[in-house]
Amino acid sequence: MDRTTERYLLSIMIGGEAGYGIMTSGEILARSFSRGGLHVHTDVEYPSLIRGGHNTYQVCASDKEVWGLYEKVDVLIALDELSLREHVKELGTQGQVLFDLYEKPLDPKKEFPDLKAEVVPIPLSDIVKEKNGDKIMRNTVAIGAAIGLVDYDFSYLESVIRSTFGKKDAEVADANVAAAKSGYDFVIDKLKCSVRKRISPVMDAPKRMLLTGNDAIALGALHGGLKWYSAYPMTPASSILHFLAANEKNVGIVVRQTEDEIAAGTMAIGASYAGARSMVATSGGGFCLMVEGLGLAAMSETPMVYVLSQRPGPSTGLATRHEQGDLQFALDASQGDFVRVVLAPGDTNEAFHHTFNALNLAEKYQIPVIVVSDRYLSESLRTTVPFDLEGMRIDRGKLLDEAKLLEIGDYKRYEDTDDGVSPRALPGMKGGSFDANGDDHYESGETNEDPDVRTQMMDKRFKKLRGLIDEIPEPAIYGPADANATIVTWGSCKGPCMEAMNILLAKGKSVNLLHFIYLKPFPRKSVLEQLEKTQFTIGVENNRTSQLDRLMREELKRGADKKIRKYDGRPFFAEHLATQIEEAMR
Amino acid sequence: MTTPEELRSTTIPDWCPGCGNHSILMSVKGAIADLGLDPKDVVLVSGIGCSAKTPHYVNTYGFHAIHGRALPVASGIRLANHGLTVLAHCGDGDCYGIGMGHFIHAIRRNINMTIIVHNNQIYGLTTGQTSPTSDFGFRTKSTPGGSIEKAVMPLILAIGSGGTFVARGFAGNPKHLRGLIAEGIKHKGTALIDVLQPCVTFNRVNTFAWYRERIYDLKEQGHDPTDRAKAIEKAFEWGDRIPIGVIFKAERPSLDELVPSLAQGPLVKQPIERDIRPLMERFI
Repeated sequence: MDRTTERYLLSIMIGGEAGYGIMTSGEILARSFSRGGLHVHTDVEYPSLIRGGHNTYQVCASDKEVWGLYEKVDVLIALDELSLREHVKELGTQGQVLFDLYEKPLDPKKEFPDLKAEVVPIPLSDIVKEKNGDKIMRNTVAIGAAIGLVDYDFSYLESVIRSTFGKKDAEVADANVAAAKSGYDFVIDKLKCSVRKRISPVMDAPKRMLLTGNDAIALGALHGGLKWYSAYPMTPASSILHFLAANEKNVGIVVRQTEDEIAAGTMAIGASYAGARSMVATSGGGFCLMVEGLGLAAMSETPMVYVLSQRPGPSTGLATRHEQGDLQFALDASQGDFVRVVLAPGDTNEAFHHTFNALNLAEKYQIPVIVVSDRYLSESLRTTVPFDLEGMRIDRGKLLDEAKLLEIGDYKRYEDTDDGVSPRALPGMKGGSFDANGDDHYESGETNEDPDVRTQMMDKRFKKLRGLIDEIPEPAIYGPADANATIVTWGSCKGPCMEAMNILLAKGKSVNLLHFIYLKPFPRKSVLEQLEKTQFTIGVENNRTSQLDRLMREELKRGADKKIRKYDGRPFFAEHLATQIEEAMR
Repeated sequence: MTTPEELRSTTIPDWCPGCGNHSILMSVKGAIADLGLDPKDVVLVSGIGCSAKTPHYVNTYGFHAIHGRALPVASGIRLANHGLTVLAHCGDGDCYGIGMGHFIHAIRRNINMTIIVHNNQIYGLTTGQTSPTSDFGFRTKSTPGGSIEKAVMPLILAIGSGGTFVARGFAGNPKHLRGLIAEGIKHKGTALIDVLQPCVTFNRVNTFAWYRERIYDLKEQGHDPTDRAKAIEKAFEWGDRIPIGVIFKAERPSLDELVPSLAQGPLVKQPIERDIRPLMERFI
């Protein structure tokens, strides 16, 4: 029992050389816990290499909700010596490490004199050889052994292995189940290991999905009527492309990989102009190339959704790591002033709902909407109950049809209306012909450089702000409403902050959490009201310059009292963040 | 039946008097009328430059986009609604300079659309700088000592990229150009029509007279556009003699026919609501 939060929490890490199926093994482990009714949260670390680098996959499983990861590991599956040396320090005193001492004989007491954790020697390679298996099956043997170490029900692992490999080949599935079972049996029968940390299935738990933020973004977009997706591959956005491409035919969507992000963005604008709901996704470097199209979408009032999944920059930065360094970029990217929405979901559930909403907002207001994700949200798996679809409606705004166009008679695509949104015709509709235009233009779409017209049309486009400010959701408050201290954060930092807050609440601290999803237009009024209620604010962000804090200072003339920043390419770990917040509160 | 008159928009062209663009505009309207296309089903897409104003002068749907990006915008439109006839109007800088990447990829994709390049071998709207198609030695504001770069050969690039309709027209021969554009629109795949379009203000070398002395009609010479080797020979021909007409033609499926989800009809006509519960089920 984890005393601070009154729950069982198990953290398993599997580490090994890149290219040897670490990710698949980690996912199988995660799914085995999820199928057993446990809450699961994972993260993956990998360098920008196909083979030869060092990969780790961490799985946290619990009988209660897990919001963030802990650095402390209970069971380490070290598939190579590097994983042992790199991660042995993360093991708790009660921890256990599975390592093939038969293949790589070393004396743990001599090598790691301070090690309190137990080294469990397991002949992974010999077991695989006995089974005539491929070297890659060492992983499967190891995860079977890990399931044995924590005394978990093997049948869950078996069912996940079968559904993972069974689709391709029943024989491969059988061989992997047998490999996992021999690992499991070795630990239980041969070694007779004592169980240091047990995790048990939760009976009668609701069915949960286990998915990444990118999966949730793709599902939210599909539910929101997405018809067009174009992209150029870029970590950590690529899995959206993979998911949508795999489902292109059965969901009725066009998915195109283009020559570059400029084409991805502008093709999507063409498709959207023709009437298809369109989205693109990339990371910061690709978004740089999409920015000229972003301005075109704004000027031509073409609905667009951009997913910007951040990774550390500038330039290539850390290509496969995590950071929240692109908020200010998203807020103001492109020449000129225009109305846009910038939103940053905090978890998979929010990623689903707010990507759906992004498509609605883009079409209703005929503006670009930027959904900001990051490596951590995009790629880590988390359990969530199936998304609640109740009350979600596609809203196409002022989209016209031929009957309405006939009534209008003299149609003007960029008509200056009270709310700034002009009725929209689509090519192919009789009576609606117009020119969409990236040059500024008058109501008909014809290029116009008259100073009065320019002022009028800029103001027309900015009228949309009023409706948007009324419509966008306010930031959420988690924890006690009347706490003395408030943690302020945005996007995927929600997870570690929730976890840290819960740790501190269990210790009797008076703290709550203010979490921003919608950042532009900035929800000024509700934030000011919230900040009035608290005595002390602590800003938490995964970037160097506290970019949300800069936004708050611009919008509210006040920022956080203390700031906690992390920009080492990794997300926050809950236990360390809790300590940092506690120190800041002193 | 649509007439060229009906295709005239209320916006008056502001091109220089005598500019080759006037004749391209006339030819495009003529071709649309000749084919009996309903203006509501036609979209003209452009980038930036003098050529990019074309959509404003034709009473169809239009999209005046940004420099170099006419082709991806046009591709997106056509794939989202393949019931539309899509024409992309680009300049030589637009298509062969800043948009060169898109040009090559558009040609290899073979989406059913027509690319009309207003090729005047100069940057006109920015008041006369060198262009990717400017000949070696050509003097401009940006190359006062004469260009020291070789001109690109767009027709060769198009054939090499898997082009299925590669043609050259001349703004000084609107009747021929009108027929060429109509043929390009009818072609199932991407049709490239590179149009020699004299800029009467900034290009004092490649004038109407300069071209008239050099051009000849391939058809009159009995050229077989399906003969790739001959086509390549003709596509390289530039200097004393310049061929116009269809240089190369081939048959292969257009991308519109290969995208699986378009088999059920235009994307925008397919229902927008879908049941995602079976997809969610896969994550359990």
